[in-house]
Amino acid sequence: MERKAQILSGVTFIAMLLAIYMVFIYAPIERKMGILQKIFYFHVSTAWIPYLAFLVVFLCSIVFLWRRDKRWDTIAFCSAEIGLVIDTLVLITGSIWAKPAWGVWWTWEPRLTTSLIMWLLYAGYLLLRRSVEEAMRRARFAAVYGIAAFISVPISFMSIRWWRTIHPVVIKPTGIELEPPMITALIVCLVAFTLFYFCLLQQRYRLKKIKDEIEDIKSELGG
Amino acid sequence: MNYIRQILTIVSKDIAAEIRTKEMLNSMLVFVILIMVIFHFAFGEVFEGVEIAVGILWGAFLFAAVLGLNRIFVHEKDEGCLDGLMLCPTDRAVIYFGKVLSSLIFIFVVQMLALPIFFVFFIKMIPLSNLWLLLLVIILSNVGITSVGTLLSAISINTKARDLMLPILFFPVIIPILIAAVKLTGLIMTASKFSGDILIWLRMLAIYDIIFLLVGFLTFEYVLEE
Amino acid sequence: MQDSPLIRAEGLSKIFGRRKVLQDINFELEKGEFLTIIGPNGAGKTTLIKILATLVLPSSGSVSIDGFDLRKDSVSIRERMGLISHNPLLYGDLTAYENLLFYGRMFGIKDLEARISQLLEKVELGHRKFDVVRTFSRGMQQRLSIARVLLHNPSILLLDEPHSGLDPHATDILDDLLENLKREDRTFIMATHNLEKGLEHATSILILSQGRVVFQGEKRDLDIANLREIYTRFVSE
Repeated sequence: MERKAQILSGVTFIAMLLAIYMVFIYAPIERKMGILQKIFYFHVSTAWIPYLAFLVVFLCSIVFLWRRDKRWDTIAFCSAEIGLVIDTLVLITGSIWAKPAWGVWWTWEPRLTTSLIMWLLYAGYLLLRRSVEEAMRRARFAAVYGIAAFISVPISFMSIRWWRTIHPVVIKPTGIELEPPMITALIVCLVAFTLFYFCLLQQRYRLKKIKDEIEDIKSELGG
Repeated sequence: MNYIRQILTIVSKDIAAEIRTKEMLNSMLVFVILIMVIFHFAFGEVFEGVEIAVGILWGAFLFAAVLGLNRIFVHEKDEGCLDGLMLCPTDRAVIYFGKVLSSLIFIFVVQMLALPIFFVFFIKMIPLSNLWLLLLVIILSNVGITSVGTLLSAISINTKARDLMLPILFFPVIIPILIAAVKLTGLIMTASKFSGDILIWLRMLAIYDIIFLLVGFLTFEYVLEE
Repeated sequence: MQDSPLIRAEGLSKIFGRRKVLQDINFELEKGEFLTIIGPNGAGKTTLIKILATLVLPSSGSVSIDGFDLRKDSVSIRERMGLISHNPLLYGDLTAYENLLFYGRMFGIKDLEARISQLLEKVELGHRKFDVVRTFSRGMQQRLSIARVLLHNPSILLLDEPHSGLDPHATDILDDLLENLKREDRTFIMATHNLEKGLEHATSILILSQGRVVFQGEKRDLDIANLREIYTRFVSE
């Protein structure tokens, strides 16, 4: 386990360095928006991580209810936490990107809005966990909410999109033409951030398990 | 057949208790009117037109629904009757559907009392020609609201935060319903006849209802078990 | 099925989070017996009763009741079983009649009206039939709770601290009712921390302490003095 974790961290580190090189040096500067366009790489490659993280929450929740093994609940919790942190980053980079692209800090555009709704859903998920004392009950409640919340995400996305198509979009997004080196840089960046997610998940899981073990020892000594 | 009889037994028990105390219906009704008044002042003089009125209507409906949903398990929980209900020879899903139906009825009753007031306050006339369509939209939305709300109410009543938890869990999941309901109500009040857009949104509501009834049906037993 | 006991629990455990509430509980009970489970507060008595009542799932181990598996056939078990807990499990806003009507319909009982009248007479509450339960005294609620449990004529009765919170008069009425019920060929499991009451009704005794069975014995080998001695020996802290 320990060895695998080290390899994953090492690979992630190299991938991140490579991504930074690709974004800032390898990829050319975009003509219309200049250096500001660089945040696009980080925004796009982080934007999909919350979906991945919350999919992991969803799947682990199902397996937990089926198998009743607390490990699945722990993974779901860790993934939700990481997903929420990265979703926060997505919202921030999204705003920074929206300013030069559309001239406003925030736009109720379907993808950005869905990221915001996801943020609310999983903030609720973590609040729910804090509000239940007993471990197995917390795991069951969180699993049920983890399932319901994830199922609502695509429905939210669809309805926001239909809503926009009927409402005329006031701000027209300015399209950017991606040159081949830009696409390569984007792919490298995507891979690096995905590895980063798994690396974080692995470390968070390890930490959480140690913390649980300490709690076990404490309660045994105390009782 | 057995299941349907048991579901109706739960519903009639809830209705009998509610008719005696009226605590849920009364507070929901006062609350719904209160929210309309608050929105009226919040929007002040800029308030004009159907679109904002429709937003007020659904804002008021949703807040009142949360108020009611928070109460749907209070008696079962505080008087220990959930154990009594769970000792009955039946599926946990029967309890779920019973409670969905009860809250559906309570919320609908309050909405029907509040709707005329809404028309008088904000629309100044009643769109009689499309009234049946409006009722369909309200009922379809209610199915979604209560199918999610009952499940989450059973969860939140068992947390430390209790009534604080439900709105936090409930509102983000219910956003698609809000969007569809507002959209549909707006279309119905402004358009003179049935259009393709209305059909799209009705379908969206129906899909949501089916999915979330299914989710509630499949997961409710995990909320109750210990 | 003739030679196997009515209730058999094997290796029953329940863990709540980190707390091991019950550990490796084994017992058997024949038809017509009265098992009393004695233990201090927090020994796991209520959890054991709730597991037998299908309200709580065991973490491991198995229970069979009347040939039915607790996990798979919980509905069949619930049809045969009634629970009287210290909580009456009644709706305060409904009348005695409405409460019994509700539970009776849930159990699909035939001739419900007649059954309700008969049971209300039995627990001496016929005169309060249409009164709201909230206005009842604790003892009356407990009696109504017994009527509720007897609606579907269960062959197994689970009692969880039925005497707690009752005044002496209500306790006498409850004991009389229990004596009558014992003549009706039912099987009983009662959890209590009251040694006298526990021994009075029992045919066999089981002492729980910190989630484990520390003593099992027949009533005919015991009197209250040596039961108290055994209890203090095993449940010292």
